[in-house]
Amino acid sequence: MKTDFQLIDNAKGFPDLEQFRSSTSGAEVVFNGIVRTPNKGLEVLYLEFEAYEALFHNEMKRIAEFLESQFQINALVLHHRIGRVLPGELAIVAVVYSKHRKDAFQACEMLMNELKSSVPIWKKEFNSDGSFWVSQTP
Amino acid sequence: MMKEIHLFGILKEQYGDTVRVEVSAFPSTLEEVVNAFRKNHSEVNDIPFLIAVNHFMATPNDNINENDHMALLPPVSGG
Repeated sequence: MKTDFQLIDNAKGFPDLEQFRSSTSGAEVVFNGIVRTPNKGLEVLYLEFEAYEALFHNEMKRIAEFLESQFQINALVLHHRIGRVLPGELAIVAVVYSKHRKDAFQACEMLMNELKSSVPIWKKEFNSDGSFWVSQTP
Repeated sequence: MMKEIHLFGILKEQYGDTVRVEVSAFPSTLEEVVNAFRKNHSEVNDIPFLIAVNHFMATPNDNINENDHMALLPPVSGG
């Protein structure tokens, strides 16, 4: 399985997916996460993302091995922005390539769930009323 | 003996990139190091966190040595 996990600090750094496509993958499922406003009734000015890079790579490797044990996957891509990201900009691109669409859809959803529960990335929201750290787990 | 702890997210915002806490000896348990951290930073009791050692997730019963990289991880929120 081919993998590509990166933290990127600008919007132009997202991957050209052409490099991951192959004739053995009949399905390419892409999740694009975009910074949204408003949130909870307040205008979002921007998000600040911070990551622990060494653990990010180790956790992504662990997740990839788990997903590979559950699904038939040919390639797995996850690129996440760090630093300031404005509303309307991409914060994350997650892509799964598989022989068939069912595995690709399910693996992509599980990838996002795992990312949100265990991958060391932190998000602070700055809005029209101030700022706060977004908490999901633990 | 002092142990350096790396912080992230809200913990980093409150206490800086790293803090140093005193432990009785090495190897120590992560639980002892965390307790020392909590003792000196009582406000942290409201913030849940996980622990990483040498860039892998760890548990409070794990041992840690002076030169191991230790980090405290507040609730993550990627995506």
